[in-house]
Amino acid sequence: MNAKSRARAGILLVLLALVAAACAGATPEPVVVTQVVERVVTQIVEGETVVETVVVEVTPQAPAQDQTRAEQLNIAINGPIADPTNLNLYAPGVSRSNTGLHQVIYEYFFYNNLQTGEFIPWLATDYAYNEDFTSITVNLREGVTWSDGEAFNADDVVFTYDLLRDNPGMVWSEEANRWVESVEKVDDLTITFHLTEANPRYHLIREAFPAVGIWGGITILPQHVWEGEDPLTFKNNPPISTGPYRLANASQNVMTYERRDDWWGTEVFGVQPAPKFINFMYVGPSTSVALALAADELDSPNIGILSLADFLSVKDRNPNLEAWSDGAPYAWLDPCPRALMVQNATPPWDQKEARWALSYMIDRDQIVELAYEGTTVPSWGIWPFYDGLDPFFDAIADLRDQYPTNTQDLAQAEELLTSIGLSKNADGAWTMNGSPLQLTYLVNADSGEEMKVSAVLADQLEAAGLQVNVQPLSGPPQEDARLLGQYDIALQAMCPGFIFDNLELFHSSFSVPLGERAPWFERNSFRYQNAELDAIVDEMAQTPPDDEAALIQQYQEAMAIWFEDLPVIPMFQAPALVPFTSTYWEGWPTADDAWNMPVSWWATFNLVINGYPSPDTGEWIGGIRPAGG
Amino acid sequence: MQYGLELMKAYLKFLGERFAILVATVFISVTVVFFVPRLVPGDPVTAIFMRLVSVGGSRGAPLLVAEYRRIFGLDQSLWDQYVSFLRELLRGNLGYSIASFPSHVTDLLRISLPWTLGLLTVTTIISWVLGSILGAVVGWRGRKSRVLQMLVPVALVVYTIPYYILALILVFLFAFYWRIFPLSGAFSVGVVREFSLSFAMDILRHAALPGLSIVLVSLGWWFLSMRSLITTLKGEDYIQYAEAMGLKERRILWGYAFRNALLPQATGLAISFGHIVSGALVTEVIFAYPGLGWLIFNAIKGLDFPVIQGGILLIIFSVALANFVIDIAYPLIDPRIRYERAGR
Repeated sequence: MNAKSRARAGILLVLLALVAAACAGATPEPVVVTQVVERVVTQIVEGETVVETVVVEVTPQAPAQDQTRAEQLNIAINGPIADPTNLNLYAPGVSRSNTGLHQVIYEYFFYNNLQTGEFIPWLATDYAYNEDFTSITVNLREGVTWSDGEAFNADDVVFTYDLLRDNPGMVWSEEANRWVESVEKVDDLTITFHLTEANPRYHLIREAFPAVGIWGGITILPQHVWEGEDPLTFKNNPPISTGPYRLANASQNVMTYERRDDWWGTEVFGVQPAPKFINFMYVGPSTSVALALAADELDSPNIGILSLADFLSVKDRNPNLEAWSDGAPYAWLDPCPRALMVQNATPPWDQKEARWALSYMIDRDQIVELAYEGTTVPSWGIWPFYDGLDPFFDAIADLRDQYPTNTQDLAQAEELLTSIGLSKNADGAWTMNGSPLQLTYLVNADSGEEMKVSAVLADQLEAAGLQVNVQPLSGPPQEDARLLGQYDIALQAMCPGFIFDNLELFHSSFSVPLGERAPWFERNSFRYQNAELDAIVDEMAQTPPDDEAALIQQYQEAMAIWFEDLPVIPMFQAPALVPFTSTYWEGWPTADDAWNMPVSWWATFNLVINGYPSPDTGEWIGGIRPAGG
Repeated sequence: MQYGLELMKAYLKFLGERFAILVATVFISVTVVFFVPRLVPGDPVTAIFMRLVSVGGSRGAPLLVAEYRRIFGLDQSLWDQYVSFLRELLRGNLGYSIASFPSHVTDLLRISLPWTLGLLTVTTIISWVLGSILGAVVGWRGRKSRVLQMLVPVALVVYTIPYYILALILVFLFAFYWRIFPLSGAFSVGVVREFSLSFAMDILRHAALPGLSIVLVSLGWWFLSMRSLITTLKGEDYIQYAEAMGLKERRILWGYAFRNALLPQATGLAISFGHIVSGALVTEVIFAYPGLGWLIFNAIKGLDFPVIQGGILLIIFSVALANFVIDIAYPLIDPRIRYERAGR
């Protein structure tokens, strides 16, 4: 080689070396989980009490290793965690259920067991309203401690609500401030919440009170850790909490929790959770989750990951796989039934005859079979079929017969549409004012359920003579369209599913003009207004939740109006297919043993793992245990 | 001496031009990336609360949404937002992510970057080297050997298999049926994450399947392009002259044909390197591999402007840089270009 080619080779080598060096430098950094904490330390020096603030670095024990499978409870979550160093569940970007924070780390005053109707005291023991329901006094449980040994008491509660009042960026601060005027510490274990207005249902509002209704509730934070921190940017790492587990390891795919030996519940209740390690892990798409379940690497996936077909094929390979019920429909009933929202502000859907006509055009059984694979049932109304709600459902049995919301009757539909002045043209299409009637059907493209339902439903409506424009949108444009009311029909989950709360959705105070954003999707984005129903709902709001007789009476009156107007069209119960394997852990709640809700992403999962003392008898109920043990 | 100086001056002038183009490209792209996502209808702040809703979390809170729009400056005019964006960018501050507030964009990029770089750099190099060598051999001796000829349709098939299917087959066979490799993730649950051999081995075990799937799919491209280059080169004068001179076939292939075919191949490689930081979205989804692809994809879906800007900026910069590197390296590698520059 001559000088020139040697020089060229040399330059090439240098370039390659640079590239290699750049790549070599990019090795993954281990996520170091430490926190600098200021502790107030009281010492007695030469007879005098000296109080100092000491800066301490809190490093948890070495990351959990050598976990044997039998010690692990593995739950699959539905997506990676964008920032595993941020454990502040008041920041909206942190998923408190994907990270496992509100299941095994934080705890709540009370837990609502929707399945049994129990209101279970946990961090608190009981509550009492004053005479006019303008304040509620809560007694905290004695012996509850934070994971660093400090006592959990009223100061923490007052502090948390002060934070919520002063920081409008915290999740649920708006709702908390809407209801809570002030929080008063009566003594270390007693607090009084002074409400902004009389509300006998305040203790059921999970966005304002530390009781878990659906999914989660207001979380009480330790004052000695959070004082002086900006509650929006504070990373809270590692989290100091009252729960039975502590964070051992955090990465984008896995949050590992290790059981604490010094949990207060062990002393107070005499129990310890069975799994030594709990891993909330992202395993990949449904195929990987199915394979992991078949191989017993997973115990349970979160909702929405596994379809019925996947579930059944895994069940073939792994007979230990179980769901809520042993045979069809397999799925547990999610509290938010599905309804078809109809845009009440747009003609001809502003007339109840048109809405009823729509309802009569729909063949719900066909959709259940095709879109839901038989995992659910049609629903006559917008409430979940829980046993605890039976008294209400029985009370309107005659109304349900009078208004057949689940019936398909095309002749009746035609009659209704004709009665309001619509007519069919030569092609058999319904026309209004001379032009064919078009429906915009807004669909959330990210929801497999909505896409499947829309395919079948659009066909049914077209067969009945309507022109349906299915509009699949995704992300913020979809959400905006739904809030702004830019749809004629849209499938929606009617949350939260309680008798009063779901009626409240129809209150005209939530109805805003088209083009403005509604408070939320099911919160009257369909712009329904009826002053009579408003009056009944207002009355219900002031009725104490335990006065069932009064509530049932009001429910009957409300439903007479609701059924006649049919502001939204009831469609189906919501299927929540949540499988569990019993290879390593048994005692899961099932239809045969319905002691709790089988949901691993709700804060009530704490009770599924530990069990709980029955509010009536005091005996210990449930709690998963090692299989075969 | 005079000639050397002239060459140097021409080269430096060339370098200067190319650098100015690099800066202009980045600036224009950054501006476009700033404005285009904001033209999409939809509110990124609402997207955050959607995630709460999807697990039964929220009934919506207008004040909270308003507060966040204020925090992110989304209530200001577009021009004001642009100016403050540029100002912060020059200070090296990419801002907070809207969807993962209060995480910084740089933090999010930083956690994902090593995994994407590690996996894709290695697989790109492997598939490039293997593909080029195989392509050269088949291109040179293709017609003489049946076995080698069969590789062409095989490469075509593997290259066109939908990546998702290939990856799923690999997962099923190697991770489930034969239990050789883990099902997903970048490292095992509960493993101690430190600079040790056991951690390195754990990472390699987890990277094997994703890496294999990427190599299989990209191999075909390098193989086919090298093969066609060599086939074209075979007819060149200097090759025929070398053959006439009686040089050994192996020497002609590797010493002459391959080296000349390497030039366009190297350009392709450099551009591939530039695109590495856009990640491999489907790989990351199937293998739950934490990387930039998922991060950027989710940011685009949720209109998380700062992360979109940060991620795309990273891609733009590295592609522009890769082009720049190739531009300055090419005259050094290929003497014909250097001479042309100097006017000879």
